Parts: sequence; structure tokens; C-alpha cells
Amino acid sequence: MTKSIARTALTRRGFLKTAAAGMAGAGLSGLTLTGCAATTPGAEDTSGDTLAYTYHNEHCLCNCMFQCTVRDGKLVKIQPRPNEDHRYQNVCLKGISEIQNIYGEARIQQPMKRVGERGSGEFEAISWDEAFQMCADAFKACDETYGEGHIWMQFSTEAQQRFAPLLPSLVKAQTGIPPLNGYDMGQGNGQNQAFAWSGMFAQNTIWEWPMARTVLMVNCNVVETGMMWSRGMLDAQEAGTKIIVVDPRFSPTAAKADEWVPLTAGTDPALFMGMIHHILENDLYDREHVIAHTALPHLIDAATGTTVGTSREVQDPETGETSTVVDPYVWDAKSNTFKPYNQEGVEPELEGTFKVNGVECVTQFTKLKNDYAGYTLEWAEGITGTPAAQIAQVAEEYAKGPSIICNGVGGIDKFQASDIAGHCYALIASLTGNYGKRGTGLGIYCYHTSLYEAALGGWPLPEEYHVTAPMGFYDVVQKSDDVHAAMFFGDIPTQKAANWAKTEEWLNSLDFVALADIYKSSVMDYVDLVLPVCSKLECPDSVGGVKNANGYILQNQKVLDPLFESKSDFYIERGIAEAMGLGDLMPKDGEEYARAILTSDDPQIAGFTLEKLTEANGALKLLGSEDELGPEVGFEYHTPTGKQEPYYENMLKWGQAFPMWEEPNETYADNPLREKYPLQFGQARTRFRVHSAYSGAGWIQDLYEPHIELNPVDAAERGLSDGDQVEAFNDRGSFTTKLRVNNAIRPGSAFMAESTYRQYMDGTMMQNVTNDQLSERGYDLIFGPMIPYNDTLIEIKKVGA
Amino acid sequence: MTKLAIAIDLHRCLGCNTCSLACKMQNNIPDGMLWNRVLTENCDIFDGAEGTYPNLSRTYRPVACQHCTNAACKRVCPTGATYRDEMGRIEIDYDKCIGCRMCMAACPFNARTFNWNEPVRSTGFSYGDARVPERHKGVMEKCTLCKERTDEGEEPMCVHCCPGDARIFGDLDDPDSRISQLRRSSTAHVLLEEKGTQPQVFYFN
Repeated sequence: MTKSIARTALTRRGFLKTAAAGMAGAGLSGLTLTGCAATTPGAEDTSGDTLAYTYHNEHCLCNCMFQCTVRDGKLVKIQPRPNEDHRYQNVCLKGISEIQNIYGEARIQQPMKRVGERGSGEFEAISWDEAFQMCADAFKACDETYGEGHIWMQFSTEAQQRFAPLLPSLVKAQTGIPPLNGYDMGQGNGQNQAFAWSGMFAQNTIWEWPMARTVLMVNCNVVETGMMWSRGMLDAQEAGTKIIVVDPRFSPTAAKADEWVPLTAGTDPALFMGMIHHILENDLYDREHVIAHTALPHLIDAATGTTVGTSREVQDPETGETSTVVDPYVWDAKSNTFKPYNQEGVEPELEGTFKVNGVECVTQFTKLKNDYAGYTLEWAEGITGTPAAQIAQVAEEYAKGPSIICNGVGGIDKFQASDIAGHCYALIASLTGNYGKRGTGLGIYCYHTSLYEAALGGWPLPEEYHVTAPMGFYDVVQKSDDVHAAMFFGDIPTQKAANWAKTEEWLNSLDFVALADIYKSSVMDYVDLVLPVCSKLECPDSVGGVKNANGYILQNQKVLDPLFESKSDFYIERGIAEAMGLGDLMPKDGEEYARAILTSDDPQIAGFTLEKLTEANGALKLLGSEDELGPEVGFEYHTPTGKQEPYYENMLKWGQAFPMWEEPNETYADNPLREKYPLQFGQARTRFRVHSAYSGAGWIQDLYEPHIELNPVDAAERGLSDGDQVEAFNDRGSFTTKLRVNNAIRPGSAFMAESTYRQYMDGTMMQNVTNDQLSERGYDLIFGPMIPYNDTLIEIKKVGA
Repeated sequence: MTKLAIAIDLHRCLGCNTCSLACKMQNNIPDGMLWNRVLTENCDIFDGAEGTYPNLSRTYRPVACQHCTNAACKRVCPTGATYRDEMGRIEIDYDKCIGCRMCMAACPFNARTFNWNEPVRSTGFSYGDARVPERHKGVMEKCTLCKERTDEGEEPMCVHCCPGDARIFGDLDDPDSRISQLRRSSTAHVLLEEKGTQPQVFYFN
């Protein structure tokens, strides 16, 4: 690792020597170009340049569109693609770093098969023909030995970017597809029911934030993880919107906020419960809204919590299955008796205990008040460590509204109680009238920036060829014994399951494991066959893909031919399919696939063709998408009663009809394990990587190297100094890295930018220590259980101590 | 006259370092060198914070050549290699640079970087703007305010690429320009004002 060249302080006099670096441009001869001649104005000699337009990683959450300059067969410049709408004219350091990264030493350059033991890292180069045949033979052998359906195949968004995979269907693989991710969707698990939406992406966009008085950002670090949308946050601030950030760490986003609310990691639900208690106690809820637009006046059995009302049978229009729905009663103030909630002229009581046909009933609202009686500000302070006065003040500002809750997919999402946090957001929004009207809402905003999305075509396969998705990868590792061969595009095993020792044990149980990836990721040493994928800037065809993002159809134009001996993921799939005798079922090339994707009846893309995309330099705005705000979300929902329903009757068996406090699985305050492992270990994304991607990018390594951070108090207690090489450990395992001391870290916790390659951490991995205990409640939720990566206790010591 | 400069909105600066790499790319800056750095003010660690948890603050401070009106580097250059041009930019005539590094010592902003060895690029080739001249061993280099772009009326690459829209480029000698208006704002300030170099690059909140 080169010494950081970026951190030299303003007045320090360290004359920095040029770092020695090897040349990594071998194998670049014979490249051909497509695209148009450069037309850059001015004196630059652009006569030998060509320009091509493409899109970058979707996984950065920004979907930047690039203008790439190629000179003498080399990629020499990446700039934002010019766009009339400045919001979508973007590039960041990761995009620019591709100038060096795609040629860098971290690239996998040729197909290789393992010659040593798994884990030894000993490989020999082989031909593509041999590699394809190895895969084909292994998959056929798996089918012959165990029957069909025992291959696991999964794609990461870094190694697979352009065309929807077809190979998993052709080999009839099991695959990991959303919603069974095990991460990112925990808060969505708790939000979805109240308003009958996915629970993930807000139903309005960040461009509505200037209409809000307050935006409460929870588990969202947009300044690093959705960098381009920071503009939306900053513009809203300039328009007068108050930004409040809730985060244990003084994150880059917290530093930009008008107010930062620090709290103990994993206690977000308690913060919201304290806020809700304060709102209830002080009549800060929006009574008119609650009665008119929520189910909170509806009657439930005081003893069981089940809805009291009239039953009717309904038939699912898709499946034809019938089920019983109870239309709830309310207590009508005018007639002083129970009435159907939707009867004309009814005046529901919001609170009270009533008798309905001899059954003692309460309103949902009364149950809420009873359930939340103990969630006082003082209780919340005790759990979260956030001062009661600040919890009260934030609750008051939020309740005043219009307010928005913007959640990301980190932080609490990596705890078992993430659904409870999401449920809290839905409850507090319903109580305070902060859902439905302009300037209100909740969900993910810093990714989903357009309401417009077109239905695209695809490549049909015969019906017999399809995947199965019985479980998420986390469960395959822990529970499945019917997978015997696996192929990963990208470093899935080190990213999508915690507790590496178990993952490694599972990998070693397989007959065959193949990896297709761009860079030498952590999982490489554990597989039998390694296949080099090219970057998104390389393609053998004129077009590598088309996709819909940010309200545009984007074209992945060829910038370079594939470097080294790499192939695009599409041609790797095709090569394996051909070796299995199934090649004819796939498109013959990228252009044919791209044209199939653009074949759609959606009027938003009427007339869109590859030729028109090329004429438009790789991006066409969806037709009819001019109104960026779209209609108000409004007050009609597809919930059973059509109202906001923050009471989840189906979660009664888990004690979570209203969101109720649940201690973290491992990092709870009184865990005896804390005597050995006192530090909560949190991971989150940084601007310097996208998960593990860019770990090997030389220009970014100059700016940032892997390290763990501790508050100075915790470092001093352990006799550790800034820059020490340390070991972080618990009973699951350990990893080694450099220590940096940082005031921004909450005392009692350790922080690390998530995921890097093991070669940059002395052969160790962060997943060696992470918690893999899944919550059983998660299986009753739409997106399944979440992996509690950040609900992990560790201790840190100096290496060798 | 023209006095080109950059203003940096510290609140809109995300600390992302896109400016650093945009500059590196545009100007064909070799391995191990940057003309533009992003510091976390008063912290040894990037993304550090001033204060004691939870009473914290953080300021990202992008620093490159400040294109000073009274440039210390220019005063000490024995060969006239460092000069102030007609657009108000401090530039280096690489052919005249003898590598004495007097300018490097004089610059209070640590903004200059020296080619101790023949430049190495791990790409194996030169990148960026074809108009940017080559620099060799023994030559000083630094931010030129993207001379090759700004000569042609384009904005510097760091401004062009800034994700936070934190950087404003313009002519301080035009009193109606946005940058001149910002220069008159109450939070506008320069680095190390006490050194008397009169930086043209300035910061505001």
C-alpha cells in the first residue's frame, strides 16, 4: 500500500517522493474503438480521440452517465455526460478512478484453474475453451449425480451490470434474488404494511424535500453512499428545510446536518418509541388526520388484539384463493354504539373501552397508549444514550411537520430489529399526519430519484428453463444441504453471509465452485475456477447493455475492447451455455439482446431504438416524465381498509402489532459477553468503495486504505495508538488491520468501512467476526430475515500482544 | 484585466475527493502525486472531527494552489519559471524550472509537488487533456487552474466534476460575476491571510 498522498496537512513540509509503481498495461495491443470522433472545442488535439457514452455502476446508487475519451486505444478521460438537467450530469472519484483501475494490477487477467488446495491461492492459466468445458462438465455432473436444481448461481451488481443473466435459468439453478437478500430491506420489512407499498423506495422523491419543514435522516449517509443526491439534501437546506441526522457515528452526512442525534447503535427503535410516547403524552399527534385517514380508531378485542367487525370472504384475483377479511367496527360518538368503520356519517371515538356483542374492545389508539406507557423519554434516554430533552425536541419538530423520514439501508438494517425501526417510522408518520400530503413521506429517497420507470422487454427462454429461489444465500450457507455446485459472478460468499468460518465450511462442502469477477476479490482463493470479467467500460460488441435509471433509458456503449483476456459476463454465460449445448437459446450478441430489451409497448419509450440512443449520446429521457414531483401521494391506499394501518395484526404472535422494544441480539447492554468483547463493531459504506469494489483501485488506495476506527477514549484504555496494527477478535474469529483514532466514533464502538479484499488485510476478513444469528420473526416478513452484521461484539488488541 | 479564481462552498463540499482525481486525470498527474488534496481541517485522519464526542464539528478543506496575488513562490523563483500570467493565474514554465524547490519551501499552502524521479503512471500511458505539457524529473508542478481548459473558456475540471456543486469558477476582476459577489459575502475568507500572499482562491459557507 502506498503512503497516503492526500492527507498531507496544509503546512507540513513532507516532500513527497513519487511512489514507485509497476506498469500494468500489458496485453493492451490490438484494441479497436467505436464511438464518434471527439468534438471537444478549443486547442486540444482531439483528432485521434473518440468519445463513447456509457453508464457506471448501478450499485453506487447514482447511475452516473459518462462521456469517455479514448486515445490511441486507451481510456484517457471520463467526464459527466453533458445533460440539460444538471442533476443527472455526474461523475465521482470512483468513476474517474476507472482510468487507472481497469488497467490495474488487481484485475483478473486470464481464466485460471486451481492447482493447490482450496484456500491456497495456487492457480494455473487455462484457455477459455477449457474453462467453459470445466463449467459445463461440472454442472452436468451435478445434474447426473444429484438431479436437476442443485447448482447455486448468483450475480453481484459489480460483476454483472448490463444484461439480465440467462445462464442460471438455462442450468436450472437455485439463485439468490430479492427480496431474500438478508440485508438492505430490514426497515422496509416494517414499513410496507402501513401504506400497502413495497416499504423500500419512498412514494415521492427527494425533489419534494424543499416542501418539508424537517427531514429526519435515519441510517442514511447520503453524502457517501448516494453522493449525487446530496445536492438534493443541500438544496433543501438552502430552501429552509431542517435536516436532522440520526447516527451513532458523526458521519459525513451528520456533519452536514442542521442537527445530529447521536445514539447507541441498534437502539433506533427506542429513540422513536420515546418520540412517540412524547407525542402521545403531549397531544402532539394530528387528531383530525388520525381519525380521518388511519385505522387507529378501529376496535380490537382488548384481550387478544384481533380486529372486531364483520367478516366477509374475498377471493384473490390472481390465485383464486379465498380468505376471510374482517371489516372493523368503530365506536360511533353520535349513536354511542359500534358501527362499520366505513359507514356514512359515522363519528369514530379515538379512545376508549367499549363492549361489542359482549366482548370488551378498545380502539387501536387506546392500545397504543397502553402499550407505550413505559416508553418514556427517560426510558428512551437510558436505552439510546440520547438526552431526553433532545428526543423531545426532535419529536416536537417532527410532529409539527410537514416532515419526512428518509431511511437508508445501513445501520439498523444490520440488526435483527430493523423491521421494528421501520414500523416505528410508519407509526409516527401516521400519528402526526406526515404521510400523504406534500412535503411528507418516508422510505428510501437517496437512490430513487424519479417516479418514472419504463417496462422493458427481455429475452424469453422456453418455459422449462427457469431458476428456483427457495431461500436467501444466508440460509443456503446455514441450512441447505442440497447445493453441490456453485458459480458466483462477484464475491457473493464474502458479502452476503456473516461469520466466514461457516461460509468457508459450506464452500468446502461443494463439489465445484467457479468465480467470474473483474478483480481479485477475497473469495478467489476458495474456488476451483476463476474467470476474468471485463469492466463496464469494455465490451466486444457496439453495445453492452441498456437499462432504465433516473427516468432515462441509458445505453452502455462500447468504450474499449475487453482488456487482457477478459470477457463480458454475457459472453461468459454464452460460452458455458454453448459448451452445454444450450448456446442457441441465448441472443447471438449484445446488440440482439439490447434490441430485445427495447422491444416494449410502454409508451414512455415509444420509438426508442439503439440508433436513437446512439444519436443521443447514450441517454433518452422517458417520454412524459417532465413533471418531476408527480401527483401528491394522497390518502387512498391498497390496505384492507384503504386507510393508513400502522397496527399489524398479523404480527400479534411476535408481540409486534405495534412496534415494541427488543434488545439487540448480541450488543445489548447487559450481555455478559461484553466482559470479553466490550466493543460494538459497525460497518458501513464509504465513498471510497462500493462494498468491496474499488478495493484494488490504485488512485483510490492513494486516498484511503483499510483501517478500523476507535474513539480516543477506547484506544487509550487499550494502550493503542493511531497507526498501530491491531487484531479485532471474538469467539468467531479475528482480522487484522490498521487502527485509526477518530473523535467521530461513538465510545464503546469500533467502526470500519465495510468490506475489502483479504489481501489488503493480511489475508483476514471482517466477516471472520460478524454475527450470523437470524431472527425467526424475519421469516414472517416480506423481505425475510436480515443478517445482523453490525450486532457484533469484539475486542481489539495490538497485533502480537 | 482578468483575475481567474475558484471559490469553494465549504458546506457543499462533501469531502469526496472527486476534485482530486478529476485534476489528476485532466493533468496527467503521475502516481503518488496530487495537485489538489482534500483535508479534514485540524484532523490527522480523513473524516475525523474536532471536539469531543458528541460535541463535534468537521470541515473538509480542499487545498490546491491558491493563485496568490502576492505569491511567495513567484518571489523566490530564481529563474522566473513561476510567473503570473495575463489571466491572473500563477503558472510554471517547466522549461525554465531548475528544480531548486525554493518555491516549494516558500509556499505556505504545501500546494506544490516535485518530480523527484521520472514520472511513473501505473496505467502505462499518459491520460487526460492532450494539451497539458509533460513534466520530467526535477521539475515542480501544481494546479494551473486547468490553464488549457480555462484558456478556451472552459471551467477547470475540478469544477466541472464536483458532485456537490461546491466549486465556483470565475473572474474576480468582473464585479458582476458570481464569484465576485461571493467574495463580498460575509463568510468569504482565505487561508493563512496573515502570510500576506493574498490568495485568489477563497472559501465560504
